[in-house]
Amino acid sequence: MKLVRSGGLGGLEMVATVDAADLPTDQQDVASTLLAQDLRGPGTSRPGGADQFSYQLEIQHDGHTVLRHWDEPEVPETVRPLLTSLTRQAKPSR
Amino acid sequence: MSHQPLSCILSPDLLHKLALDTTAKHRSTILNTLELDQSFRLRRAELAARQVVRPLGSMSAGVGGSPNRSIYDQRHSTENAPGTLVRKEGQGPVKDVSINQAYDGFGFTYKLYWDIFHRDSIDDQGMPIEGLVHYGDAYDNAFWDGAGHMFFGDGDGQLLTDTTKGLDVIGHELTHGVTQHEANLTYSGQSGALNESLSDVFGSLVKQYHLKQTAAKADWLIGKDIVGPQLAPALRSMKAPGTANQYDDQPADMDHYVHTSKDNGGVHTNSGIPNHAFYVTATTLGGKAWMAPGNIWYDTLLDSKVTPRTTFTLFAAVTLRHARSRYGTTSKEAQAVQAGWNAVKVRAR
Ligand SMILES: [Zn+2]
Repeated sequence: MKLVRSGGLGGLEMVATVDAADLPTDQQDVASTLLAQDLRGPGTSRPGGADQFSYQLEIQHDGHTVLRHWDEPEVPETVRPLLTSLTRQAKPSR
Repeated sequence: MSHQPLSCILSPDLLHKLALDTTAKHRSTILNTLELDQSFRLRRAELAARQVVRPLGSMSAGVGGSPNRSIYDQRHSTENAPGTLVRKEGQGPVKDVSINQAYDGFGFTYKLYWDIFHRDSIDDQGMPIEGLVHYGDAYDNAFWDGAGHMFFGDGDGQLLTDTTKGLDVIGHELTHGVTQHEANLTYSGQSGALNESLSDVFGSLVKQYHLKQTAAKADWLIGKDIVGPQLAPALRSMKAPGTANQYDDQPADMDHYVHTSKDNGGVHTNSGIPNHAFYVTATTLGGKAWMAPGNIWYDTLLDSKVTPRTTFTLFAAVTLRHARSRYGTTSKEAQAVQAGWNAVKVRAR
């Protein structure tokens, strides 16, 4: 799967490409859930906000790909550990 | 002297404005111009002007001038509601340096806006200033949530470090609130890049004012005090956009405007263009950047012609108009603003 984190105060795009099998099992479970359904957080991003991160997650499975997208602060708490762990492996893309 | 008629003290242009402008904001701007001039004559004029305008509106002595700060400890959670209140207005320093840096940084930011622009906080109505510190786990960011809160992460130590360490960063985030309450520039494309640039401009001015630096002495770097080794020496350079760190791809003029769908159309990238225009204006003029250049940009931010979808060209035209009306059509201030926009190849007229 591939995570692209964009935005933020620095405007620096970060990209991580990770094999789901290398993730902790609870995060693999979250990834499986995301394949089947879109999870949304309780918050909604506000138009007046600035410098917030956006996340795009691309998950491949059995020949098909799903794309999930969140703008802070609407990242669901169930998804955040997965994004945090992928972000730790991310590198600047430019 | 005390019986000298007003018309001998104030320029006809200024009198005209005093007579026509009925909004408190414009009046305070005019008074500010007068206050910034240290000459006795103009100080007397200021007193006279206050007497002229006071009956027209709400401006009164003793209102505003002190911030109302609250700093919350998020304790590394990503909860978006304020956590534990750890320092509120008037309370002394606590053990946690990040809490104190946020508190002090907001104070210095409030001070620039009040001392120089007569603005009373984010909304000019004394709005409480709320900082949420230690947000997330090694969180590489600081942001404004559009609902009155500024969030500060601790950084991962590689890209960013403790984001409360940057006075320009604190000024940058608070200015997003000011912009939301004024021009409310849409956060994408050119208006988004202007929104970002205004935060860099006033964030930099907060730091320069606090350090009492002239335009020539300032480093014009953004985020110098919060970058980790991967982004050193800074996030952005207003002096030389595109050179702040190994990943910096900011353009310095319109020929290199970046068309992209990322980061809301490159709002943190194309902000390099108006940032550099401000830098050239301030250094062409010399002296303190928060004086004439800061006032011209602040007037522009408050101008009703600057609407959410404002382009660089419109913004530039409004800065030039304010430089001319404040200082004169052929003034060195107007020429410096023209030089600023010329340098970045944005047509201003
Ligand atoms: Zn910003």
